[in-house]
Amino acid sequence: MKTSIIATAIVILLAAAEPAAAKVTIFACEPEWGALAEEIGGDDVSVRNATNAMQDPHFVAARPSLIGRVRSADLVFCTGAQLEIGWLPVLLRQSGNAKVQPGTPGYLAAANYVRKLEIPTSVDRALGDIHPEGNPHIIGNPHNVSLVAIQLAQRLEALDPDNAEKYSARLAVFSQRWEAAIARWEGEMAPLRGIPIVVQHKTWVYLTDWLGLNVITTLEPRPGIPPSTSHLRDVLASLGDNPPKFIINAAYENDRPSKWLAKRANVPELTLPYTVGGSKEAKDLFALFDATINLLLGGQS
Amino acid sequence: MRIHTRTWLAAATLAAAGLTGGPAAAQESDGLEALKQEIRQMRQAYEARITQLEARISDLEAAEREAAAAPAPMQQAQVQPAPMQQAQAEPAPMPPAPAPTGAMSGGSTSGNAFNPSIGVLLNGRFAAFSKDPANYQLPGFALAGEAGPGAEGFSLDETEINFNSNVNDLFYASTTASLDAGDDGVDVDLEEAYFQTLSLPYGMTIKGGRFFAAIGYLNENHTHTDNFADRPLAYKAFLNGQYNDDGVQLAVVLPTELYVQVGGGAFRGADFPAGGAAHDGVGAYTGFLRLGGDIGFESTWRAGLSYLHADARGRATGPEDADPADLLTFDGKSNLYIADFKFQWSPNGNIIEKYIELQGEYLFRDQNGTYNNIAYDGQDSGWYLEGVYKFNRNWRAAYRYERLNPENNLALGLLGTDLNSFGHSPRAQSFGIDWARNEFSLVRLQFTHDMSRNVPDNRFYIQYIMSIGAHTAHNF
Repeated sequence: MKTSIIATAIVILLAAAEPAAAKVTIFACEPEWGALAEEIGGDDVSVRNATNAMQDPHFVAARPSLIGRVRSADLVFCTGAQLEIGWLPVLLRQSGNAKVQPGTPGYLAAANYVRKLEIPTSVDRALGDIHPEGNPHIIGNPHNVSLVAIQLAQRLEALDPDNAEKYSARLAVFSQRWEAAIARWEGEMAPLRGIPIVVQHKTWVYLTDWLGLNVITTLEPRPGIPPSTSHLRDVLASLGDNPPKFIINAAYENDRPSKWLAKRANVPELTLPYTVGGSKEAKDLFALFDATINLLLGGQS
Repeated sequence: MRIHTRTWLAAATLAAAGLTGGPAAAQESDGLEALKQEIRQMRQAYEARITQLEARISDLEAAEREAAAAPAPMQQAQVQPAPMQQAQAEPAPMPPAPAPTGAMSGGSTSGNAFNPSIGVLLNGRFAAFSKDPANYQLPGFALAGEAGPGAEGFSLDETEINFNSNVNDLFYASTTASLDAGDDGVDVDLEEAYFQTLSLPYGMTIKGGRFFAAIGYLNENHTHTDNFADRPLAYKAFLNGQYNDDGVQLAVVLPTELYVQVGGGAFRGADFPAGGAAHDGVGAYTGFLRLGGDIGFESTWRAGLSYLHADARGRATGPEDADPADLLTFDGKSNLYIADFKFQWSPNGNIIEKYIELQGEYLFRDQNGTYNNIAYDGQDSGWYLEGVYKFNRNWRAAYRYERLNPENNLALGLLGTDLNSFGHSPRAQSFGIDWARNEFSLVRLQFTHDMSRNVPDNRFYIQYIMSIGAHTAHNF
């Protein structure tokens, strides 16, 4: 008798606690997708980011607060390409949210809609932390954002058909501004095509591919393995007469290897925001690339 | 696009041709002729351009197909369409299984495309103790098999083999077999074999089969994820290391801002601290409540209260090679209450570089029944507190303090058994340092000052943990 009263109470509590959602709740794995969701979704969405720009998105604790956020989400918007394989599957399984499991409209993996680079021909952990589906750091190339924005708008229209015209209107506005900004950035960076640079981790392949920058070496001997001092000495020696124009790393990376090499090779070391929130200026997607381009332009001496 | 342009051109040409119908002066017809000529030339130029573009597109498509036929798995290579165009790709589900092998070209008859994730954990160590582990005792507690410190010298810990995958859109399943290679052969133990639902409403999940019950904090975690080479004394005494039994468990995550998970389970009652599969095989019940949240973006915490009610029938404990007459057998009810918490602080929340963790549990047991047919109504408890400091990508340091409080009020007939602590409260301190190249390999050095008995046992361990294949993500 008592158990059935408690059971009824729980059911009533659960039913009452789930009001009709006025906004589409979006769980964005990384802040770049949270920012894109705000551009396309505007006031009709409420966005929660799983990570901030100072966290390495590969390594995130699958903690209760994130499980709770996935549970209340209408759309889980992540990169995919196994970037989040260390934590997202646990969140999805423990959340008990049927609407956002992979394969449903409530699950959107951005990397499925762009051309991926560095797809390995053989996969072995002796080669370091490699991603079998290709490099997942797709935010480096703003053209990828255009492609993902289209998918996001379609997905929002499917999840919230009452506001469909607003989403496609916002997509049109965003795309116009975005394409204009891309043209401007490409123009500004045109003089830097082909310049040699060094990167700390293979985070930048989409950025360097887009801008035609020439990456002469990566500081990490293998992806995910921080370089030792002796390895950095070898890198310094290999640069020889061909110094890079600068060394770049991401705001969330430990920049000591870059600083070490920058001092000895007499080359500027740039910490780029990588994603929205990675620097004070990078407040949204437009400002992210503005800040990145400004740093790159200012860095070459 | 091409068709529309052609149609437009055709229409324009027709319209232009239409203009030339009817009588016209010679001058006008010259002008018209020039116009016609211009249109013809325009049309030829555009036709040539369109043919060129078509050829380029088919070249690019052919190159894509070539790239897609390479043995790399799960490619979604796509030509970048012009902006404002709708991309046509189907959303691909995130694969829990390793990618299909070369199944890109034509139909593959093998069923391997849906193979589960397979992972193997290898775990071994070298240990040196100042006291003979064969004489190990935990005064005040009747211990089942997993409570001793293990063998000295080189030995293998359990080798775990795990298979897991989504079954279909409704279920996920996972099974873990552990191979324990001791001096007397290989024991194969089925640690887990369960399914879990994926699509129930209201934040519910149901888990069924054999699995680690959701009580306490450590109970749900595989031992290879622990911060130390051995489980705390409280877990050895009250749960024989870990409680895993056959049954069903329901968990509900509430739709609240604060993480709240509540649930319970019913189990067969075959595993310690239950025993004998009482009540026709429903011998144990659990209930749990977990809370969790973040403080800013650098700190996170979880806390829980849980309960295990176990009915024990003929729960025999004692050394493995003991005479049945020397075993201590409990019949009755065993109620275990656990309070657990974990707190983590990491600068910027970037846990790969640095964090500090504090974690602990308090276990309280209330037993009512008979030991060897002698009445027993007693309460005992234990707790442990762990701190971990990860100071860079590869290194961590850990410290654990633990204590047990045995029941000291015993019937006369039980004074000569393991239940007599002689007034001593077992405790221990452990220090550990571990080095991880990355998340797949770990080597640990541990020193334990064990005061299970009145005389200390100083233990030294070097342990390795290696993970190959798919590595399921850890809980917080």
